[in-house]
Amino acid sequence: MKNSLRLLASLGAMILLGACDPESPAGDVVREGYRPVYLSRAALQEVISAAPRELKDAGKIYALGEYVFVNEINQGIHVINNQNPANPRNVAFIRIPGNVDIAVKGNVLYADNGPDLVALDIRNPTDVKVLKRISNVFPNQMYPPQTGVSFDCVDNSRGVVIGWEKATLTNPKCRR
Amino acid sequence: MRNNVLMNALAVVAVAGLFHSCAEDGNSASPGTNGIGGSMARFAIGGDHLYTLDNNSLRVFDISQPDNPVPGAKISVGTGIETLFPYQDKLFIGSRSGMLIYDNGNPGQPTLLSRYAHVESCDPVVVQGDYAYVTLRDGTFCRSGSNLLDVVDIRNLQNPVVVRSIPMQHPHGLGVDGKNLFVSEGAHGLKVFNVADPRNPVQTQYITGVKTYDVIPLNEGKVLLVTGQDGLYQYDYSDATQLKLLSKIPIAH
Repeated sequence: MKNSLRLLASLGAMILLGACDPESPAGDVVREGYRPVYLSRAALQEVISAAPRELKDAGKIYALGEYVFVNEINQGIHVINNQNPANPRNVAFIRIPGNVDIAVKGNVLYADNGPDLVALDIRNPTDVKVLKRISNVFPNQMYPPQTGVSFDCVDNSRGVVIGWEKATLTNPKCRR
Repeated sequence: MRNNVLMNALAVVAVAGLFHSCAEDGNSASPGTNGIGGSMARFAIGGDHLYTLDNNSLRVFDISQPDNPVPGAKISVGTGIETLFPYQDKLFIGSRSGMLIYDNGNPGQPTLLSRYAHVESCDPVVVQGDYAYVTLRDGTFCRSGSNLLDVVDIRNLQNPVVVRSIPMQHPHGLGVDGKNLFVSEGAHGLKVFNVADPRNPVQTQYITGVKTYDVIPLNEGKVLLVTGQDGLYQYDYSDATQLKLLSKIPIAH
């Protein structure tokens, strides 16, 4: 409510002032939209096995032998031991920031890790090893998946974009 | 990745090596022990190559040495790319503007064979034999469009022809294993079709009360993996008219 009022006030001000001067304190445009979630390079590259945790925000699934891998959007991969489909066991979480997709050949799991591709040795899912990293092979996320929305423009100096969150934006300059 | 097709292709491929020795009529040619992705996947393995899709490119990585992927070709495939399904020596790409078929005879350098265009919507695709099954759905990310299950005759890969269009509620991922086709209906549940006649899917079961996003039929053991907003479900589909819930792992959100 407050926001709407402020928005109306801002719009009103804009009309009075005759357009958008983002520098004008009275002319701030406040609207709902998306802002990038940044991660530093160092944090992005922390790909490591961790204790199993509750499944959340599930994305894609992948089956390999007795294992099922369940992506948690932008966070990593839950490893499920599915030897008995009537009693699957959650055995590990592989933390892979910015991960959405995976594929496996033999003992090697390929995953997107933000803009990087990583190859992981998953012989022991509770202790994966990074075999190779190909940096910046995928495009940086420059805009959210949604269309018809405002968003804060990406500032690459702040790190790698690994996702988008809903936010109240002040003077957003990007839109798609 | 994908899917199902397990039966044929992947299973063979995939599994053959390692874990079991299934597969009767497998046709895909890749050796080794690849896994099976869902129909929504954008990563796929075919033989010694990893294929990835991003918003507008298909990328190829040479993984003949699995621990040392080497980037290769980057092919522009247009915008709104959604899903990737390798089948035999072809790559099927679901995009917001239709289904693209790439010839993968030279696996390092796929080339476009044809484009089956339809209304703008999101559409994962799976393939079995001479037919592709495509779901189309509407929604914010998918722009306008319809909610349909399309059966596409791909005997002439240069000229895919839709032979059946079945109205759906809000379909997402799908998977096919022999005569069984499983379709996620989003918040509306899970539908099972008999595709013994591939041109004429007949609905045999409709499970409501589960939110579904994608499926993987594991033909070995006849276990259907189903993900959705609330859980990872597994069903026994040895009787495909009467799926039996085996387990559910809850998913928080």
